[in-house]
Amino acid sequence: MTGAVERERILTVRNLKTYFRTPEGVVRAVDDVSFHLDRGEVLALVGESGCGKSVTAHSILGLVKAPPAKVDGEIVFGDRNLVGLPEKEYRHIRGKQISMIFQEPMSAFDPLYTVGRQLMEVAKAHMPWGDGEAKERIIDTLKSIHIPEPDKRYDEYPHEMSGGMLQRIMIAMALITSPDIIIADEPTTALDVTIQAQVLNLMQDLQSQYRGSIIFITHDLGTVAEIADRVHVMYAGKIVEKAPVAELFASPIHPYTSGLLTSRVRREYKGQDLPYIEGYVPRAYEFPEGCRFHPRCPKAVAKCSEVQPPEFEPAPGHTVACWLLEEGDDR
Amino acid sequence: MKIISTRNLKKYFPIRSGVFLQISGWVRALENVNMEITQGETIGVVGESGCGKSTLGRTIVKIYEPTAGSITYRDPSGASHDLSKGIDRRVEPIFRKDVQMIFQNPFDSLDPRMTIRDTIREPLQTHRLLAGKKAMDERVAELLMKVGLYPEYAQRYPHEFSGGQRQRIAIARSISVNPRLLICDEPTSALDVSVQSQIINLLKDIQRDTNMSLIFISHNLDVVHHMSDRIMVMYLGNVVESAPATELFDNPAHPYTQALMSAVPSWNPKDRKLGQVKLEGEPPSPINPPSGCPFHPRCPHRLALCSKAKPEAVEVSDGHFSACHLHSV
Amino acid sequence: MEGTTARIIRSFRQHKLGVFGLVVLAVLYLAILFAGFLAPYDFTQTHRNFVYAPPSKIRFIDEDGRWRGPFIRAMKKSRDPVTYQVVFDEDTSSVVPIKLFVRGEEYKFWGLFKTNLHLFGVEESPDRAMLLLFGADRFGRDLFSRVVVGGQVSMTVGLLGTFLSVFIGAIVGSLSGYYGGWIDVLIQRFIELLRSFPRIPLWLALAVILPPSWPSTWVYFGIVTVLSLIGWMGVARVMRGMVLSLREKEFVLAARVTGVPGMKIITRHLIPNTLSYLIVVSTLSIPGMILGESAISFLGLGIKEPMTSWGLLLKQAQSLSELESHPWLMIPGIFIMIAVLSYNFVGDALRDAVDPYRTVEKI
Repeated sequence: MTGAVERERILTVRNLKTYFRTPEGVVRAVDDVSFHLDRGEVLALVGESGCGKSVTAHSILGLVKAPPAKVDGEIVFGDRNLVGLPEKEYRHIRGKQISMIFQEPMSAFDPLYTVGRQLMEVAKAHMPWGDGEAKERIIDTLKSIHIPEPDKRYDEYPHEMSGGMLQRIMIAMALITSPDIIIADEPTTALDVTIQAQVLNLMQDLQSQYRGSIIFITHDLGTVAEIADRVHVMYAGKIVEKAPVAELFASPIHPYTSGLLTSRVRREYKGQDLPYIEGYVPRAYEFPEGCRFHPRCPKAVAKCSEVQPPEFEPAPGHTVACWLLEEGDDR
Repeated sequence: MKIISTRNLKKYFPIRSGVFLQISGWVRALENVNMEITQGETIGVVGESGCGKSTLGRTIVKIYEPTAGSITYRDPSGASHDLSKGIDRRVEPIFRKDVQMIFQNPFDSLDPRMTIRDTIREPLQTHRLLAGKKAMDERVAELLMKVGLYPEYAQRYPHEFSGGQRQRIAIARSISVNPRLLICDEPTSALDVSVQSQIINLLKDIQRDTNMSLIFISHNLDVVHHMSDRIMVMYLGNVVESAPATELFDNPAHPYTQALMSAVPSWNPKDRKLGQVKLEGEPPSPINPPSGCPFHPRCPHRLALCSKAKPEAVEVSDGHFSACHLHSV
Repeated sequence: MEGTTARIIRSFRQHKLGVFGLVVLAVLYLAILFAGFLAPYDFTQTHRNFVYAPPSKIRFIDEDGRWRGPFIRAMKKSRDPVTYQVVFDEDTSSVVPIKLFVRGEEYKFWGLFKTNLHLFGVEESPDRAMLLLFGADRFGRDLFSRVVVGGQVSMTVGLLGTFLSVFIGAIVGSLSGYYGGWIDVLIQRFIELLRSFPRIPLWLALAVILPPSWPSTWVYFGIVTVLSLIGWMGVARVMRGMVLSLREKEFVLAARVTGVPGMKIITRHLIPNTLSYLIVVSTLSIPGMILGESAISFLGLGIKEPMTSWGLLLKQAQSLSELESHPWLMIPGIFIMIAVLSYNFVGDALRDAVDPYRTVEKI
């Protein structure tokens, strides 16, 4: 069923900067990040705590309160720039055209209302449906994600369900309005592996059905390998490497990416020391000068601590922000 | 030499309700767990959330009182003590020094109002191991260096450190009294990926130096495999399979273990495997566990027998036990 | 990153009303600390010629339009021929200058030594002219002096009462939370029982027990005890809740695993970690105590003459007719309001400062 390979660009983020003012100083949580998203693809943003992946998502959704925070740059969705869009207009986009799946299903639902009522609220806020039709659509959606006894679930409260079930319902909630983009922020981190497998499979199925795009945010490269088309690796507020998923796993170039990949615990390492990345993830208000990874980088040279590296493109669609690639010097 | 062994260890938590908190039900967190750990050995305990692995650790270390069954502790002099009905006053200090624990959340496991020095000193003071401020400070400095931190960190407070550093501090605290057994409850799961391996290596190093035993509890199969000599797989409070680490991974016998292993992502985008996972449903609630084999409602190989009788553990190969009816059919 | 204390101080300072409240409280406490010195007259001394005298008008310029510095006029008492009401007429020829550090009526400074030095006042005989900032009561006693001295009771009753009730509440609450089980059930049901009583009648019932023959200092401590016997319950509940969640924290488990005894866990880990909350709870419960003392004294069951408190002073303003003709008798009420509001502002600011939700630690 493959049509034309023509790619439709649905979101373009250019030079996004999201800064917060904290007592410890200005936090450059997202610092000059650019990327794009095509229709029907799964883009993974990977990184560790404090790398800015969630703040990026929140910026796209207009969930960063500015002021006090400062959001700069461009987020082009359709033909509109979302940066600085008034909250009133954002409300039509958020939940309808761009929806979000959160990490903690338990806290994403209001414990006081039935799951059905909360789904209904979302549906009616964005779609021109009456009560009857909305309920029908919701139960259809629940069916489509293989939730047993959807009619019964509709009238249940969040606490009557398990985390895995709620996460699936949250996915349903995100899907009701057939959004163009779903932002999934660590959707499987709080789940057990067996449930994670179910949820990932579900997301993949739905994505191929709905032809929507997914921005998949995670710290877990394992799930990235299972679900993503393209991967952007973030470190300390910057994207350090962008690549198609197969290429990233086969030939990572940025020292941070390869560090992450080698610090996976492999069976072969039994009885030996595990490879690891030196040092710790820097705190958001004390990102180092120059390349932000240089204090932990085994290959750092003098320049790395002084000037931030630009993006080099060693292969088409594969960019790396690292000085090691300067002047055709590969690896 | 065995340090701890348990027989038919059970832990049920009462569910209370009403004005005078009458018991209205039980959470069956642990069912008939048998295990033993000898000096220098690492036992891995793996399973999903709610399987009872943390309860097992906390019951062994006597944060929880067991509901039934026995815990036998053998002190350094070789004498055995039954810990299932409270601890004898004379044994308690020996036990509390001999068995230590580190926890999952490094942001929670250090008292935010105490300096690192006071935190590490607390076990030393409790057991009156060292006399004098100077000896104590030297010991703290030595411990900090041992876990890869600077001794100058002693006067700082926990909020000044990252997750990985805090976990190192927690390790320093737990090894300060030279325990023979360290129970590690998900010690790396709250840490950044790039820092996890550092902590695992550190624990391994310390174990090499001190010949300490470890009970390593985790939901991460790969990490448990790396750390452990033997692994116990738990499901709904039951040990469904136990075997030497390599044997378990090469020849998983129990359908649950097999399912668990199949659900681990491959890290290979060219060979995606999640589509092949055939495990349906979710673990049932430990308040109303299924009859017979706890795994039977989700098991792809279930027999009629499975819902009726609970399978006994069978030795499928040398030292490899699995509790499944399939082995005896 | 800065420590918790520094963070709390910084965010407290951003709370304008809280800082304002703190300044007001500081002024009030400074005033009552030096009450005898600050008051121009002895608060018990009656003055025949100034019964129900209104607040003095402070003038700066005399009849001839000359600048004289602050001064008041001597007063002459007379009766209105029609209504028979006492009226005070100014002796327009007199100039009684207000001076700093004047010698006046004798008082005992901090109960230590006798002196007659006052911060300000007039050097005229109190038969002829009195500096009455807030007017005088029906015995001709200077209300300003009485408010300042009465503040000593009102402002400290809340502090002491809260201290006692937080002390009891913190211990009972942590025992209840840490040990749980039957101890917990028993304590909680007992608290619920006590709290289901309406507050003011309970105060009164307890206050009635205080024997009338007691000297006023005993009565004072009696009132403190009565207030804190009721106040600790709220603290105990909050404390129990906090301990209940702290008890499961891994650092408490870690201490238990290393064999630290229960009592030591409470004093070393639990109480220090609830301290900031306890301070907030205390600050917010002081106003209740101040109001409680006022209510008890207002109803005549608390502080007794010759000692005085704001509540007792207000007692004189009980009838409408009194209020109509001598509205200045309400002034102690204003002070109660100021004190209560200030404590509430400070409490709110502290609560916001301690509130962990506002800390930016991880992004």
